[in-house]
Amino acid sequence: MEQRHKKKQSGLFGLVCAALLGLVLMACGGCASQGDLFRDPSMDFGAIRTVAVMPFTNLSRDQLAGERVRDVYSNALMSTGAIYSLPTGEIARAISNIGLSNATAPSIEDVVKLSKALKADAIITGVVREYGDVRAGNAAADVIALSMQLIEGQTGRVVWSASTSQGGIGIMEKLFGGGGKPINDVTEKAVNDLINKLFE
Amino acid sequence: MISLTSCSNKYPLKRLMLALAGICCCVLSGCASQSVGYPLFSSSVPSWGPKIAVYPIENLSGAPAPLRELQEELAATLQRAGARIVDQAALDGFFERHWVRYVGGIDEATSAALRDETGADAVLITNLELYNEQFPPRIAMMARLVSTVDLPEIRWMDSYARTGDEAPGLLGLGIIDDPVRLRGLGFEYLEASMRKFIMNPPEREHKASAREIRENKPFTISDLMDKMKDEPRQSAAEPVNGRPWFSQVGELVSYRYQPRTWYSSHDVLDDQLRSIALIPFLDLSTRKYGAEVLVLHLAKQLVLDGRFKVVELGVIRDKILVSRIIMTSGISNSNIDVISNSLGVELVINGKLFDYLESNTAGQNPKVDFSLQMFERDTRKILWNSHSRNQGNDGVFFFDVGQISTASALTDRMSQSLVYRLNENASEKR
Repeated sequence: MEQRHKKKQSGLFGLVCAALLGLVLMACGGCASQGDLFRDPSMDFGAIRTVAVMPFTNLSRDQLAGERVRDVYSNALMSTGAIYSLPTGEIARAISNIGLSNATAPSIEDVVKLSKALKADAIITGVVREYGDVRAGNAAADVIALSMQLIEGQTGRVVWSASTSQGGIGIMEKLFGGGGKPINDVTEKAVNDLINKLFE
Repeated sequence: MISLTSCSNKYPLKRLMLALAGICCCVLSGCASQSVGYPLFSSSVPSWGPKIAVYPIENLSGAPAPLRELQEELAATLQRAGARIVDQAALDGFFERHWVRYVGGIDEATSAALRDETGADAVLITNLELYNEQFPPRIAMMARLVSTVDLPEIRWMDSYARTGDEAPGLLGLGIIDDPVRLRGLGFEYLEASMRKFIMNPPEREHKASAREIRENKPFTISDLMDKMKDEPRQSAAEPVNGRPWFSQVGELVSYRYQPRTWYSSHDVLDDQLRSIALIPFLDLSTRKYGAEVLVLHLAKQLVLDGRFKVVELGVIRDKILVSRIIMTSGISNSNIDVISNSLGVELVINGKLFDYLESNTAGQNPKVDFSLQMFERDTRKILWNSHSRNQGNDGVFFFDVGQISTASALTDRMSQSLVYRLNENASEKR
């Protein structure tokens, strides 16, 4: 009888342990930041030295958001000193020369043609999903959501893809009000996050 | 023991004198901010300097302004100071004969004709950046002296920007509510600055001209191939020397107006005298003529720095029009070739303006946001790339100390910091 009771107790303990372990695992899964990152393991990223940052798809309300973010990203990429970002005027000329109809989302053939025309190792495309202020109750703050892709110039394969979201209404804004950080600061933060993901 | 009351009773006259002196000091301190700093010449003073053709003022404020009045005041200020000025009737006649409509710059042909017909050695081109007569009155203007000898080149450049309530002083005695007085101060400042330049030109280090070196060098295919190599330059780690130790720890203190991010190829640019062409920037801001104003401020800082020869902006505009160059999203390699070959310049600067917001009565701070790229003529590679963004209240923590009230003054500081940073990274003595 006593043995059966002990067995029952140890079974309950095991169940509790398993449940706790499950909870911890779930929590860890929620914290994982690698979910929005793809890196082609067979790609030698060190070989990429010249890139063309294409105009970004703008899904936000701000008409200039794509151009603003592209400029900040291109500047930040160059300031790392590891990658040379081609001038936007030269990219525009190449786009018009090869007759690219949709510069924000080029096809594989277009990428190959474009990289040949620009002598670029890779092409970067991006999407600005959100740019501007968000409101929740009385609180308001600037937010940005971006995603980017690095496409190899020779094959047109996507070798890196990442997304980020910065700013928005946090606990501080909810408790104390205020507008959070300015959109330009949030943009720089998001861009730096993406660059870190590219170089990590 | 001598008490304070007994002492004060003992010297009533002395106390009164001290109080009067104190009041005088207060009044003087209120007026101090309005002084120009250089004594004005009287009409009896003999005329000085080169013969100057004073161009009509170009309005870049995006709002109506009394340009004729301003023009007359400028001419009167220069005449009062004893400058040699081309007769207004002769200048009007020249404008009619040559159909001169653009007064924001001067091209090569017009410059040569002006020199031949009026004998002008230089042209004074003035741009009005901001003009508001409502209280507090606001004014911002910029002037440059362009030589008419050979290819027009900017010799001197300065700007003046001020709001009436910028330096209120004690009890608000420094507040200027009269726009006429404010613009008078502006003209006097610009005249004094120009006179100082003409009387005591800054000593520049003598350098060999990059253009002469390039033109005298024999052409070889191997040289051309070396220059056309597609290998991008790799920049070294950014040096942090010249900064206080505490600012290097976690970027606690950063320079207020320096670019947010920048890339430098670290090529040495100050070993020879190189020419720079400032190509009109792409304007994505809501401010009318914002890009033109930004280019003017950058030109001013480059002229003041003196390491580069800055080609007159009117000449660049003319070449772009003649070559039918249309830049919808920045400069391309073919554009760099056309501009550098036609102007004989070694460096080309281009950029984008995102924001140029003036301050207003609702408490809006001035805000400027732009990016800039500098290209080399032969390789067409980017030598410098930066992004600058600031507001008038950046780094202001106590009682508005250090607050900038006009976008013009803010752009000036940002441009100054940018040129300083550019030179620091492209200097031989780095």
